[in-house]
Amino acid sequence: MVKRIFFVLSLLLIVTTTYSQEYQKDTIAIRILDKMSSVFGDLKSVGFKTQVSKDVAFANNFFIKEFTSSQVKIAGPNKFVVKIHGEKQEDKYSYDGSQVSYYSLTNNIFTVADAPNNLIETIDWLYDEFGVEVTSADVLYPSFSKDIEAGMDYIQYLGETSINGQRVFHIGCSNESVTIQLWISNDIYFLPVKTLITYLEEPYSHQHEVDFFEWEFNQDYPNSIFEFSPPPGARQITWLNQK
Amino acid sequence: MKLSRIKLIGAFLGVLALLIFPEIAEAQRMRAAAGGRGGARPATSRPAPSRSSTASRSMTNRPTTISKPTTRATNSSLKPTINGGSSRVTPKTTNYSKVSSIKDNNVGNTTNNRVGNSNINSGNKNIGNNNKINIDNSRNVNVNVRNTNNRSYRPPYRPYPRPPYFYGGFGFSCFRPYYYHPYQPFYWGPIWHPWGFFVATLAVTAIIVSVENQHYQYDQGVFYIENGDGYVVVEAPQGATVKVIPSDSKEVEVSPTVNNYYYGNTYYEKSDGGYTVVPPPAGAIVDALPEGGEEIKVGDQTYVKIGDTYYLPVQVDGKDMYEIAQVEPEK
Repeated sequence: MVKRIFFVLSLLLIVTTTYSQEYQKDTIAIRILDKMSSVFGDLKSVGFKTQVSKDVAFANNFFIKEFTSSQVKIAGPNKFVVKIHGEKQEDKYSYDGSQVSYYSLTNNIFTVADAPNNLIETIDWLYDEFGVEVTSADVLYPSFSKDIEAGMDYIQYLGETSINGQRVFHIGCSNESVTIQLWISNDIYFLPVKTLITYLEEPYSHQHEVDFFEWEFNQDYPNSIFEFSPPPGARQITWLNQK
Repeated sequence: MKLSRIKLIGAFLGVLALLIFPEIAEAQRMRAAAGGRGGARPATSRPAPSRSSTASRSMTNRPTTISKPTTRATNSSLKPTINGGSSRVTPKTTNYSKVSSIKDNNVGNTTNNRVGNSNINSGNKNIGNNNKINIDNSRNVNVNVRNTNNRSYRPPYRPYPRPPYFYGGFGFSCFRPYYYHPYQPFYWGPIWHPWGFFVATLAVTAIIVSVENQHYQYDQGVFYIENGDGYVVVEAPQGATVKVIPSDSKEVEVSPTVNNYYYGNTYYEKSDGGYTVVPPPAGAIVDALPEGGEEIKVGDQTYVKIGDTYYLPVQVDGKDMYEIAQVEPEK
């Protein structure tokens, strides 16, 4: 009898825990993320533009906003070109399948490094080795929804809203060091329209916000746009590896 | 008779004009003009005589001549692109990777008895785009020109106003905002030489300076060590004291009460015995850097690295300067 009561209580405890975990990780939100992820998984190439705003430490206890815009073209399995317009500089990163080149249009200097042979490894490698974050490349990862599901304590579907007249799904995720909000288009493609990351771990929280627009899919981009040829007078400098 | 002759001439000129005008029209197109010069495109490099011979043909032959298929452009290859691929004027370049690791650097404010990785082999080293240090000496000198006991900087007297920029486990700090300007090595006159430079003889004004059992020859802001049948310029050993420094040394403000003197990439501080070589003072600014530096991309910024010291390009009162950076291991 005691054994039976203990068994029932254990079962109840397991069910309650499971229910609680399911509630914290909303299945609607995960399904939307999965849908977005699977659309990217089916693409042969993708192009888009972004507007980025981020908090930058200007002084102790004093953050300022920095704005950049970028144009991104990615062709599977191993090519990308990203042109970034910052407030004071204009940069370009090109990946031709074997090397990543950085070129500063403002200063006419460039760096070159031998890269892995595929996009996802190269995007990771760029971040790990050189601290370069290809504009919100996270959403392009094949394991994006899986990673979010594994890394976040809370994932919530926050309802439907609109951004610039476009109907979007609003999803919020958080763990102890970061909160992530995504607005994903409520149409046939399920594309990210906006992401907002708030970093909480450092003494002061700060944000990184990206707006996505002008998406294009499966365009046959010419190879030459991914190649880098140093312009006359450009000087190669050394790229400092973090590792 | 006269009238019919004029008519005949007129008709002939008309025929000639009809034959010539298409050619003129095409010559106004840029590609055609280029082809005429280079002869690469048969359509536009057609020699004049063939035209005159065409002109003598009957009217019925003319259209055939003008629309001759061989004069048309074709795709340059079977490549499935709109034109078969372009014929490039400039060749495709091969770019060489040029990467260095922050872990190989002797950064931070500590001494390090690193040995051997700072040799400058003074054979003319010039490989592709990787021309790191190019000292044109006819001799093959293999001396450790870097002083491994030197510190890369000394900390500033005041705290930095903002958190460091963290990169690869190190925090980079500077007081002034980044302002890129190209690195252009400065030469402090004919008696100054960069690290690794070989001279067969020294001036009689050279004196011997000893630091940690190592003897150096010092002459007008340059430190040498003996090597074979001559002397090689080396990094000034911190702690060495000399009586005189070059008169064109510049004062560098370290703090409101301390100034250093800067000449030829060496920092001196006035002491009882004269002037003592000290580490580069982080936060101070200099207007010139010597040969042998390397521009390095650290995150979004480009520093100039001389030895183990990082310099941030800045602008002060409209003038291009360099601030000595503090590069501390992340705590």
